[in-house]
Amino acid sequence: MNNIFSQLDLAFWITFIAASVRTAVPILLAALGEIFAERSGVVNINLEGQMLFGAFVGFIVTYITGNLLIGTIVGATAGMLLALLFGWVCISKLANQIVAGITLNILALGITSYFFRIIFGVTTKLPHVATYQNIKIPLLNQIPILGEILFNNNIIVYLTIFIIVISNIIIFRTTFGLKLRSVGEYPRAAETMGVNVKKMRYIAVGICGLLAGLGGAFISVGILGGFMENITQGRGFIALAIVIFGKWNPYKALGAALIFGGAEALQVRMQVIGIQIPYQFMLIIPYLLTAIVLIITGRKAIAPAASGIPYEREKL
Amino acid sequence: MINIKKLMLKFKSEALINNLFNITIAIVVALIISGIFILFMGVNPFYAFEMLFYGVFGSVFGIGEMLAKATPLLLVGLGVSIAFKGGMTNLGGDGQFLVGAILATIAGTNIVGLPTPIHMILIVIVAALGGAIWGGIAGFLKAKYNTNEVIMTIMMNYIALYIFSYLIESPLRDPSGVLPQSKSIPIPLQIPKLLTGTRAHIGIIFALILVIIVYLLVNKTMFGYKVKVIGISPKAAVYAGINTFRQTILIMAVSGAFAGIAGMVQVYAIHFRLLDGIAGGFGFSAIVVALLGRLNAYGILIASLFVGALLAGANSMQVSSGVPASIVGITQAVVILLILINQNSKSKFLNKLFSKKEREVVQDE
Repeated sequence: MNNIFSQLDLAFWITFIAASVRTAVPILLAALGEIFAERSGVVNINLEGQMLFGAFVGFIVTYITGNLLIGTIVGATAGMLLALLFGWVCISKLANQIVAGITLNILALGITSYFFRIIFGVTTKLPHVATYQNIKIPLLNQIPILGEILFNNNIIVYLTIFIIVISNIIIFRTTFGLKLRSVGEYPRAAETMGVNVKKMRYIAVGICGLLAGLGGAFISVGILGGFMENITQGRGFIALAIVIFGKWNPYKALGAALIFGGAEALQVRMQVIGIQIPYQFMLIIPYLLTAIVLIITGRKAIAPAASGIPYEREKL
Repeated sequence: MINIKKLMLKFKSEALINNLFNITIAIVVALIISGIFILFMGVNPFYAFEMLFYGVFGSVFGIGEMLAKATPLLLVGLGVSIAFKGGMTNLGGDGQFLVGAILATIAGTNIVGLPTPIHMILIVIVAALGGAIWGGIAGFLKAKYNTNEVIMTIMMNYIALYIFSYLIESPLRDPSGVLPQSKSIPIPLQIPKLLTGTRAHIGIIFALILVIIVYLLVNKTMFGYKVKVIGISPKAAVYAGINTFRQTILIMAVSGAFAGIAGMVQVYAIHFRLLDGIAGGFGFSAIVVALLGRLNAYGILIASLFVGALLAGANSMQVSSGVPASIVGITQAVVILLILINQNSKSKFLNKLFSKKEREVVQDE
């Protein structure tokens, strides 16, 4: 035991927290997207599939072009395209959002597994791409401890911080945000005020898919530098839980995502320093934490009133 | 009076034909789309489908494979349909399957001296109980803490998966085996084969009996009535004096019990021990089966045979034409997607059945 505690020095904590930030990014991006979708009245259970799409396309395009940025952008776009398909089924065709989401998750898993197999065949050696380099922000990265954690990261991490701030402004400080929220709370009234409900929902779902795709691409090309079947491992569903825990608010979602990032980073580090607990129990941590968080938030969580309900214009 | 009755019958059969027509169209279109995907890899889709078809119906072994794949799908699908009918989404099929498989294996390998029939009954009960507990927890948490059962059942899948993985690596591991797997089930307890030389087993007969039981349960009993009332309008259920708290737990538990039994059947008839990957995504395919079968017990039976044939055929197609078996995942999803899109305003069957608005109301009660 002595041996283990001696490893828990400052350097350990710094790398641990830095790793937590990194692992929090994909679920946070997906959760931010989901906030847009749910604020507009669409519960996007398809989040997992959109992340998976982003992860796969992001990886493949990076692998072919050798350009991380192009790969990431195309990956995010792929997430958005799947989201728009989901939107079409739910918003225009008025299908049940949960059933449509599950169906498209199965579709995303099928398509990504199928094409991965076609492109790379059955190999034991997984294909790899280089991941993003860290960019040190001058001066700021000189701050002790904090500099290492916050200002020595890759571009996507900085972008994520930017997106949080922007999302919060868009949702709560702009006319667009007001329309978005009104559509999610009382679509009939919003329509009476001249807001195009379906259009707003399409935009929100599109933003959601873009961010989920970006989060997925960050998993494959930003963290792992590779892809495997079902690489997202339920992270889309964890992001859904984060949205509830974060009360549909970007900053609160950030806090929640960091807890999950921490759980995942902790799980990896506990294995590394060799604590005598079977590794499976470490791997359980994020999922168990999600379950506990759902129980804690359950009664207190008040979702946008119209979320999950297809909207149909009254026929005249 | 007689005219009205006749009219209603006619209406009903028209709806059925309409349904069947829609489903057939959806399947054909899904196959065409899958064919386009197969073209991407430079294989003639007709050849691939021929291999798929031949792989199933070209031999007794193929038909046996179809039945072997259909059995767990049918069982889990029946369970999933009960949750859907009660207005809930049980995505936890895989987790409930694993818990059932674990408990059934423990009961089979550790208890000795019981007469075989009694032992067998005990094993089935234990497996059903395992699945029921795993599903019931999600139901309880929903009823008590208003947790979202969709996310919760997914989380419980991962939790069950890692517990399972730990158990077969340590406490339940067969010390003589190279791979992490449990001790094998004693031969007298193994479920006999239906057709020799295939993997089809008499578990399917057991599953067929359950189809009839589920049909009666849903359509002819008080429980089934309550399930449907809650599914259509939880508020009405409360006004009708139905204890929605208890029913929510019960619905999820019953739903999970079927997956638990499926886990037991899969261990006792196919693998004869616990080993990695036995749940194999049955939970998700079972959702497809339940939806394709229109949540009707007999419909689910047909749907399970269809998806079972797809899965069995896909394996032989992969071997002979090189088309990855995961293509049938795409086919399944596209079929359901087309049915969802194709729902005209007259028969918004699924929407009406589990519209979220009504479910939220009951949570406030």
